[in-house]
Amino acid sequence: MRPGFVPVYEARPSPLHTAGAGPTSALCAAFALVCVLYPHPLVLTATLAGVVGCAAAAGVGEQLVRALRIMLPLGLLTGLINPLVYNEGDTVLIRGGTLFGHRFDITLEATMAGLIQGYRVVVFGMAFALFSACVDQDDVLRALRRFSYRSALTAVLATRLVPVLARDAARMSDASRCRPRPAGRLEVARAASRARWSGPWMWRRRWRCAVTRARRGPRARRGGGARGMTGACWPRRR
Amino acid sequence: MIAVGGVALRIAGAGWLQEYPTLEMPLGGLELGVCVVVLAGAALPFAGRSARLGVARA
Repeated sequence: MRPGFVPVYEARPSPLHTAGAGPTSALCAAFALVCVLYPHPLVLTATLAGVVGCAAAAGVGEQLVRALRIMLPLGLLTGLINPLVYNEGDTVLIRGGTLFGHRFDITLEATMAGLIQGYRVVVFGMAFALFSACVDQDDVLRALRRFSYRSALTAVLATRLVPVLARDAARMSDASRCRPRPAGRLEVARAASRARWSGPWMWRRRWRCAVTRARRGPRARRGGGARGMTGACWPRRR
Repeated sequence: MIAVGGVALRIAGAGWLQEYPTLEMPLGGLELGVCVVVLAGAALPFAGRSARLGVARA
């Protein structure tokens, strides 16, 4: 199966993994804080170097490269939109026309500002990719449930469900590529609407599994779970 | 270390950027200081057995 874009935590013997959720989260939050505070490209480059260096030393460099593949288009999009919608600046590169009263002049300053903001988005996303790859979400839930259980549960469910959905999408893509003639979108949509097992019942089951797993933790023994949860986290089918 | 150093140097005036009407950005000791703080803070967890994010267990 092809690996997904989203970094997933795996236990490793690196200092970032063994330090626990608190110190590693604090390190990633510090990287993100620098991105928020400084728009300077040199500082952003140093932050990116720090994030990539930490990831390489912790053995999750490959996961960060995969996350970069999804962050780069986002950064480029930010860099492209800014000069189109904002035409301040002294150096005009392209003098465009007027549409609905807005003059589309592309300036060097707006282009550079957009690229810098896009770069900032990329570095910010890489800090959170390091967090996702090096911090066990169950440890985060365990640390935060004393302060805000529902918020912590929501955050952990989101971070747990996104890799599961990305993995499922990769499996579907692999299965589609195994066919001699890939199915068209209309056929796939018809098959998906016909298949009851991939309908809302499966979503409910995934949601129940994620809630049960987040409540119990990965190392909890099966059976005897929280109220309303079955041992194997399968809901009753109606 | 990174957070405290970053906030302190930002208050001291490091790393400002002016986009409009002309692009201006400083490149001096303060900016290099921020870079050194960030890179040193990133290298600190891997510096040695006794410096693993302040946690004794390895």
